[in-house]
Formats: sequence, structure tokens, C-alpha cells
Amino acid sequence: MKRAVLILFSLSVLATTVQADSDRIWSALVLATKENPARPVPESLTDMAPVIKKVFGYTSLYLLGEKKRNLVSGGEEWLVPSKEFFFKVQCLSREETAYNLRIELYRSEKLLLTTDVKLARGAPLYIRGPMWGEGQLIFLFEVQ
Amino acid sequence: MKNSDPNDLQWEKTRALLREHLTVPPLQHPDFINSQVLETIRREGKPGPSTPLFPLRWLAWGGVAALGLAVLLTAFFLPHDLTRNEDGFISQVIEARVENPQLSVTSFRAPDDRGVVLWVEGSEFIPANESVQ
Repeated sequence: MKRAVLILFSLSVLATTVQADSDRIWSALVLATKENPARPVPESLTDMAPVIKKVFGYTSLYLLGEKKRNLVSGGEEWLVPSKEFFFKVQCLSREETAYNLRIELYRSEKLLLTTDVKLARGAPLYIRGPMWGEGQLIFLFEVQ
Repeated sequence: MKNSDPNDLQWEKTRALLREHLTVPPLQHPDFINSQVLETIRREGKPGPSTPLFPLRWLAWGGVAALGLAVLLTAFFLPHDLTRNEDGFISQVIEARVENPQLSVTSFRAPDDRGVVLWVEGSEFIPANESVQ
């Protein structure tokens, strides 16, 4: 009985610790276009599609690339969702409900943008990128 | 032959006298006595204590242990959730700067606070025949 309680307790602690430390940063390169009828939203963009449609005014979304990396306080990760655009993400610090990140956006080897953001879980960062052909490129970041 | 035994005769005589003169005293609390007798019969008729797989006492202690574990885990981990306020769930841009002076950048909250938007203006158009993937 004592052993069972001890094992249960250890598993609970382990599971909670793993869950707490397993936050990841997800990034994606999206092409937003105006099409009629609108094409189905890619599954990984389901939560963000309403905001993209409302803010940017596009009806259809294409997921051109996505990447996910672990978030470690003080760490640095390169996210390369496409060969042309990629990001350097530095985790400056971690708060109870959010991460303080420094994100650098590169096109090829050229730095375009640097931003310091406080990114909360489930509240993504949308970056309006350049126009590409008939559509608009949008960069997405989310703590998952 | 038996009836002729003087002892037997004497005994029969005594029994007859007892039947005639001896009366049963009335019970003062018949219901109480009856219930006590029934309880005694029930107790004595019950089988002896057995040893179940999980005695009730163990189950009770198991419940106490589970509650204790829940309180412990709550104290250790839940305060992170309880103490966070609404701002904790909102992303915000602290600072943003562009390398190209021809570009401008502004930030604002997404509708319903479902994220934050960095609006970069003046980016170079990329022709459709150029690959971005």
C-alpha cells in the first residue's frame, strides 16, 4: 500500500514536471489569399484562421511551412519553416504564464525584423510579412 | 411397574402441586428483555469475523492518503494557475524594430485578445515566380 502511494506520487510529480517544462514554440509561414469559394483551413491553423481573416482580410490560408522547438529559459533556437524565411528565437525569461522572447526574422541571410515579445500560451504572435504573388505572407508564433 | 415406584409417585405429586400453586411472575419490561434476547441470539448466530481483501480501515486510510496527495500537489503546482491574472494570458509586443528604414512596424492586440499582431508596412513585393518555401 505504502509502495503504491509512493509510486503514484512519484508519477504525478513526474507527469506535472514534464508537462510544466515541455512548452514549445511553434512557428509557421502562411500564405493568405482571397479566394471564392474559400478553401478549407489547414488543421494547424484552425484556431488562428478567424483572427487572420478578421485582421488581414483574407479568406483562404496555405500552410507553407512550420517548425516547432522546445522553449528553454536562456536558450536559443533557430526555426526554419522555409528556406527563404527563418527565425532566431531567444528565450529571455519565463514567467508564470508567458515567455519573454526575442525573435529575429531573417530573409535568406538578411535580418529584417527584431522584436521582444511576451508570448502567452494560446495567444499567438502574427507578423504581417511581404506580399507574395496574389497573396500575403504571414508569420505565426505560438507557445504550445 | 414404574407407577408403583414411590419416588415417581412423589415426583408426580410434587409436579401437580407446583402446577396448581406456582405462578409465573409477570415481567416488568417484557419488550426490553425480548429485544435483548433477540439481540443475543442474533449475535451468537453471526459467523466469526473474516479478513476481506481490503479491510474498511485500509480503504479509509487510502482515502485519507489520496486526499493528502491531492492537497500536496495542489499546494505545489496549482498556485501557478490560481495566481495568474487576465494579463497573464495576453501576449504583448515589448519592442519591435526593423533593419530597413523604409519599413515601419506597429503592433496591436488581435480581436478578443487572441494574440498580438505586428504589422510591418513597406515590405518588398515578392513575385509569384520566386520561391519562398
